[in-house]
Amino acid sequence: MRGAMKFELLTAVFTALALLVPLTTPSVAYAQAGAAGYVKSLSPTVFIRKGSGAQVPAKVGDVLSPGSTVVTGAAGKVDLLFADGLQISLGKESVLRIDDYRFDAANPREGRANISLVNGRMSMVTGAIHTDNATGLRLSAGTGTISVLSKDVTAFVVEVDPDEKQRPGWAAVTVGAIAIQTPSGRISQIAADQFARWRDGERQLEALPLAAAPAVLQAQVTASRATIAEASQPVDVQSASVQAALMLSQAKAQGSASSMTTAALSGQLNMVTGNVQMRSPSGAQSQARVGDTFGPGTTFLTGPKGEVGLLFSEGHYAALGEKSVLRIAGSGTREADTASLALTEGRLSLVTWAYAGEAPVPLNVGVGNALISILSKGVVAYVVEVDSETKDAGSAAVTAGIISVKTPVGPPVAVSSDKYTSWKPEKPPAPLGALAGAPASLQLAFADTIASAPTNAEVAAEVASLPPTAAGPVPAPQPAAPQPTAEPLPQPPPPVALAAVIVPPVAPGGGGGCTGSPC
Amino acid sequence: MPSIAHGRNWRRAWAAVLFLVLLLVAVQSAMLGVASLIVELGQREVDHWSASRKPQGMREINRVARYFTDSLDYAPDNPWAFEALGALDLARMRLSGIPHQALAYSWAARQRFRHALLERPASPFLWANLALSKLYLDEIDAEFLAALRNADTLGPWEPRSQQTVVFVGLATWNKLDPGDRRRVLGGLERGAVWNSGKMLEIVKSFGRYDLICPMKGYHGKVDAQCRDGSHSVDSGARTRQGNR
Repeated sequence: MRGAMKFELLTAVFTALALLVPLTTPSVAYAQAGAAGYVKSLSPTVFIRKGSGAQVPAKVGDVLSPGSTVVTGAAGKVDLLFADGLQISLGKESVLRIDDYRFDAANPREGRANISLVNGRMSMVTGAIHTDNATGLRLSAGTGTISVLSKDVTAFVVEVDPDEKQRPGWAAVTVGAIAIQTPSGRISQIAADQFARWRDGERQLEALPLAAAPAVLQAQVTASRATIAEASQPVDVQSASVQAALMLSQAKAQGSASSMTTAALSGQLNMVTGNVQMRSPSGAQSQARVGDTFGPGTTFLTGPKGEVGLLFSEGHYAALGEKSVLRIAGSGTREADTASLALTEGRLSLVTWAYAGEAPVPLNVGVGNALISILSKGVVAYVVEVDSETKDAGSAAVTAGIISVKTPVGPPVAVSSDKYTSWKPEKPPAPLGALAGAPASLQLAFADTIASAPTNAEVAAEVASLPPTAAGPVPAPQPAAPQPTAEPLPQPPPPVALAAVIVPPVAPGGGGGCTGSPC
Repeated sequence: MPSIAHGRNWRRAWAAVLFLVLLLVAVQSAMLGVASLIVELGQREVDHWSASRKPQGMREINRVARYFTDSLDYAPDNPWAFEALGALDLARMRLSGIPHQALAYSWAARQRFRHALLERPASPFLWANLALSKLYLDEIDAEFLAALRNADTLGPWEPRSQQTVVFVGLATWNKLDPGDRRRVLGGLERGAVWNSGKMLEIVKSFGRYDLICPMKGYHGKVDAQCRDGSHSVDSGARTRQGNR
């Protein structure tokens, strides 16, 4: 009897549990109350501002809830993945606010997402909320709103800066179509491989082919295509975030995670021609090879016909000409009057970059006993040369931006775009001359620099993922395995773009060269 | 007798001088010939790309660019080498996913075209390519307009020049004055004669069928689009709606 009662009691308990479990354990996504998405990857600095107002540094694996705001710093980038498969990548100096988010994998039609790009640049690939509910996804960018017109997965890039009225906002679509209501008016459709720009007060709004976009914009869109990785399918945010955090900690333990510092100059060689020797701080010297990494204290020596291209982890690019010697400062710090790079012989071409709005790049180059500093923001490109006979003499030519040339004698001289100067021992820099009148070697050096500049975004990404190393050759890192794509992405711009690039018929012997009619 | 010997010495001296001059000319010619040969080899590769219409990777472009940069060792001011390098820079710009790199390629292209124009100011291709590089640099300024006008004036019947003039013209339509717009329309009209396929591609990418609907050269090719309602040529004052 007692045993029967016990059995009945146990049966009743188990039955009650069996009934209650479905009620207390809803579908996966809904049970994760407040889990809209997570941080899939990031480059510092990125913050998450909670609904309470508290702001904390973001880490891979951090879960985002409605009411959160993601903020990226001057060099920050972050990739976010949401429960419905929505992917968002934020560029530097961007602010993204998650106003509302609800998603139930068992009932995707009820999903809602209200996301605002307050400032900066965002790449987006839509997820199940949009594909299953045409009105479920609400997007705003600055003071405008974005409507996703296509029913299927849509991918686009948008950049806004509502505080700076003269800087145009823009949007480009790689898959699908969107419409944008801007402060200046409505752009009724931006289709795949089209872009549009708008500026405060501008009345002419139109979508143009991406092949006609400015180079910077095209490159940003190209980069966004490369980051569209996994299929935009619903994910279990909690488990995916934990997995991402675990993978990062494992990668760090193996020493292959990104730990780029902004102070130390380091990078990778992307071009080596002829005899190029690389000397480590310890004095070990060997022939340089493409893929070799370098860091503070490394010295490069090129022989006759030798040339080497240096891709810095910060994104700058330098090309060292033949019969040249270049040393990377050992301390890796950037002081106002200290050279980060020292050119003691030969010729160096440099292309550097500072995002508009940031301070000029702190990258001083010593040229003999002169010091070259960057004065302007944005891209700066110049060539410097140490006189082959007199090490205290040299010249500098600028094709973009403004630099300062400071010699031991006299005040510094500012050299602007398309100008050059030279200096001799015991004398200040000579008056500026037009670049067209500069020695041919200087002019050609710049053109050659660009010809051997980094091959593609993967190289830069590889470099960015390298930890700062001591000087000396190390095995080149294997390229990252290609990520599966969500769906077939459109091909690069149609042939009309190629048609617009003219490669004229070559007339041998340097003759007239004009063919066709009239001539 | 001394006068005969004296005369012989003069003749020998003149012969030596002439020989040196001829030797110099021969060396110069040989170097120019080598430079042209190298440029020709590079140009063949590029022509092969154009014919195959297959997109080329950055490494391949860099490899071919090496032909042209090597040729500059023999002929430092070869404008064709600069021109080809500039065109390859624009191709590299399109492939780059790094903004500052893309910008640098566009700059390099602009510089090379400017340099080549010093030697070949009458080349419509160079002017057209200069306008294109200015477009990518977002420099719609006096130099851009001059390049567009010169390309149109110097090569009104050159297909490639026409295509580029129309392309950059449509991209900057709202910033062109009526005279420059007439140039672009003229290019479209002339393009219909030998170049209608390419012109249609360009017009389609910009969605500007309205510009070619009244042109006889395109009758029968865009009837459906023109019936759709985009058949009136306007000055571009209305807001564009994008591709439909």
